[in-house]
Amino acid sequence: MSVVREWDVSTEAGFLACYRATFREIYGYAGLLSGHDRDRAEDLVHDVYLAALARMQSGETTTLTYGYLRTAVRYRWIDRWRSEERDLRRQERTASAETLHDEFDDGAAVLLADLSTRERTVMVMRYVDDMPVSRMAEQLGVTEGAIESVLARALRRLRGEEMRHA
Amino acid sequence: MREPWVRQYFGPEANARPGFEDELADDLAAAWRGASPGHGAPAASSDDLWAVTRPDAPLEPVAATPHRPAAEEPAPLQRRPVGARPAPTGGRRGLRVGLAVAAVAAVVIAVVVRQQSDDSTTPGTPGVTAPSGGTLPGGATVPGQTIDPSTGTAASGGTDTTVDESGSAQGTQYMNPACFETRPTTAIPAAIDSAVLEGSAATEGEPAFRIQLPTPQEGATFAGDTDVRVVPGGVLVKASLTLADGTTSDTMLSVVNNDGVVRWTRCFSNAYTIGPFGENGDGSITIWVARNTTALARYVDLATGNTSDLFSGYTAATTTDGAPTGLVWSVENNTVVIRLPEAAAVGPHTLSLP
Repeated sequence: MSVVREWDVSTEAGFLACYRATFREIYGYAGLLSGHDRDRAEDLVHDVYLAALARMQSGETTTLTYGYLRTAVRYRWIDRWRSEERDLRRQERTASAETLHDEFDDGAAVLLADLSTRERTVMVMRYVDDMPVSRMAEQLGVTEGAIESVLARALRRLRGEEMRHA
Repeated sequence: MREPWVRQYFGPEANARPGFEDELADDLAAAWRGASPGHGAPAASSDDLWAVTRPDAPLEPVAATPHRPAAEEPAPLQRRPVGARPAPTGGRRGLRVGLAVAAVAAVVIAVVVRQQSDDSTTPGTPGVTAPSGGTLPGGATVPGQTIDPSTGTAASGGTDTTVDESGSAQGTQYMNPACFETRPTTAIPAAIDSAVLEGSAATEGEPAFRIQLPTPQEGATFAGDTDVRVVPGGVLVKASLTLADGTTSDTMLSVVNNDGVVRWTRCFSNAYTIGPFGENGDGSITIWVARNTTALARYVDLATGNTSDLFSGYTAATTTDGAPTGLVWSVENNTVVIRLPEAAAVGPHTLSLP
């Protein structure tokens, strides 16, 4: 049975204690989604904590949970993904080029951060968040088949490299 | 995390830059003590566009209340009499020359003003322009002067430099039927408990809302630029269009109450993004149009739909507050399907916007 840790953030000390206690995990999660784009990860984390602070100051809540913060990071990330579709297409073209480069040239191990934004996002939602494919499809606004396809491709990239270097 | 094998693929991206944690702690402490977290204090909603668009209109049923002033209705075209026109007199010739010069000057001014406006992502979407001392609907502004939305008259000494759609009259141009604005007519239902909204969304059965959007112009789509948020007493639906050439345009912004009644609808010729929730602390949200690293933004009162004037300098920050775990939505053939946890006891409602 999991225990949901909840922080009383009605005071400055309480809020900062919550921040210090959750920062590492929250940043890590944002970092996984953002890949090599450290600025974006910092923006995500910055925005999430400030929004939580504003929520508390507006009287909406006096408590925070790790789950709330993590969910906020994920939704923010999906938001940005949707609003930057044009960038995404460009990144995917780059990622396709990177795939060839990774598979045939330099022999460097492929990490999550090396995947395209789409691949990385579905990998994190599926295997870090442990989210069912059906729910991922709903949240991302695509079909389950599309999710499965991207997952398979991402796993091929990760495991193919793993086998080659074994 | 059920499958820890994935950890072997984690890289240094999961570790924060040294010093970032302390930097953010300082920012949060400053924000706690009253410093601005992202932009200046929210401006009070200064314009009441309802008063501007329909100053004396009584409240009417939502769907039947377009906020389109009668004066905007185009006059029927009349055929010009056919026949030999008399040679212009000297006075008439001078008048024609004067009118031509004035027309050219107006076009030049419109182009210059257009370049200063925020609509860089929307080719062919007209902004609102007005001659000096003229009036605009909805509190839109022209350089050096602000239109007082309560009176519809120009006030000198304004500092706004943006001319943009008022959101009241011209609205959208790539939707069929065109977006039209409505205002609140009923009380706002009670908000759903946030704990309920953090539950699992219903994945089967009828959705809480099935909302039919207008038909976009051929080649345009709502799929990539639509957003849904939970707001007190209802859901906020933002539908913007991505056009065939990849640019974005037109926004229909509505709040649909949990009882299925459309609380209000606003129309904009830009593709707006919904900004942070809760940040304003006054029951409003921020919507913004990205412009490089900053954004042109305005506040929208969730209860009434009233907006503030556009302001610049807003540091755009995307957010998903208002998007609890229990909110799941999708766009299917111009229909927004919104699911909420069964415990929320909302719907099913089927309706059309605008």
